[in-house]
Amino acid sequence: MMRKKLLIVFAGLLLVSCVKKIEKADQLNDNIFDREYTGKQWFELVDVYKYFNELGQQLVAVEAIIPPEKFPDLRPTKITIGASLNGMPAEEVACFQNFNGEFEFFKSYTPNISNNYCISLGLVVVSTDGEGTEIINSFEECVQL
Amino acid sequence: MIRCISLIAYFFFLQGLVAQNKGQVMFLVDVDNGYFEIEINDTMLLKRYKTDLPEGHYKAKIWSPGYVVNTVEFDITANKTTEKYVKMERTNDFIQYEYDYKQYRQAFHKSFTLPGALALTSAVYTGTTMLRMYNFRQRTLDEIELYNLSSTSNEIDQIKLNVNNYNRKFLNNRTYFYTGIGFTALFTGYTIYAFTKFKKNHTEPTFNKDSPFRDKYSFYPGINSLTLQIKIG
Repeated sequence: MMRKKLLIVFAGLLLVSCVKKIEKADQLNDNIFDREYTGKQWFELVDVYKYFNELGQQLVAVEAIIPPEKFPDLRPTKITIGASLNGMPAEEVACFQNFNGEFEFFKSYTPNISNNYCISLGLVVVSTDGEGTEIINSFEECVQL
Repeated sequence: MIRCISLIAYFFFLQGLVAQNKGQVMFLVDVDNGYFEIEINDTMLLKRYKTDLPEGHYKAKIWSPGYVVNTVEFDITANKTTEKYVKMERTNDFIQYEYDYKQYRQAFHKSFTLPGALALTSAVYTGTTMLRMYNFRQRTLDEIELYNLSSTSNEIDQIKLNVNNYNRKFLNNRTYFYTGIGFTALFTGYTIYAFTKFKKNHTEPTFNKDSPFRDKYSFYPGINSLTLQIKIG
């Protein structure tokens, strides 16, 4: 008798689980390659620093990583990031995975003399019409040197 | 003891038949139930349409369930077949039974067949929508899984279109499923209620199917025909 009741309860739960709404279906916006991504900033600035090159020019280096958890489960071997500093035109930078599974970004700029640097990074993807590329999901982070 | 006397009587009866010139009689009994019994000369009961008889004049009573016993007379000529067409009339009881049974069946269909068919249809429809709902739910989940895997924006656009499409169909079928469950429960409940009420208020009409010859004979299969022997004791 008890077993029958348990069976009925189990069948009821099974039925309810089958007809339960899929909440995630209305909230598909957490993949960073989604044009409608609404999540948080997907990269972390590791370091921004000034240095002088061999020619004695002052440069600003930007180092960033994209943590593995920000990526879809099938990771590409390479991604291209559209990066711009202080509103300068974006440049495409190829990034590769390190041993920790993080994608590393490094770029040196010859900036205008300033102590405030705003770095904007976006993902370069094939445009909707399949011709050319576009930058999506850009985030900007500013640092004071 | 009774069986023994019957055997002896039947033996002498057959001996008598063998000794005389015989003819055949074939009854064409017009009944729609396919069953009839023929009593010849108040002594022999037939349950088939033809038999061999010695020459002579005979009187036969024919009965079939729901029909009035009809009496016919015929002559048997040696080595000839006599065909006897017998038109049967319905009994008043049977005519009343047919009317009552029709009413009974109509009430039955109204109380059970119709709501039962609706309940069954609704159950089949609900089952179908449940399968379709489950199918679209699974396809939606599969597409979401692809979404989590993909790192190509254009592919993601297509996946999201698929998710929206499948999820909309899932939700539609979910609504149909719930509606179907409601209707199935409603029709099933009504069927049970109506059938219970029907059983309470109606009794299946019957009519007397007993043969008027039943108590007159004991069953005893003959050698060359399905004749039955008169019960002596």
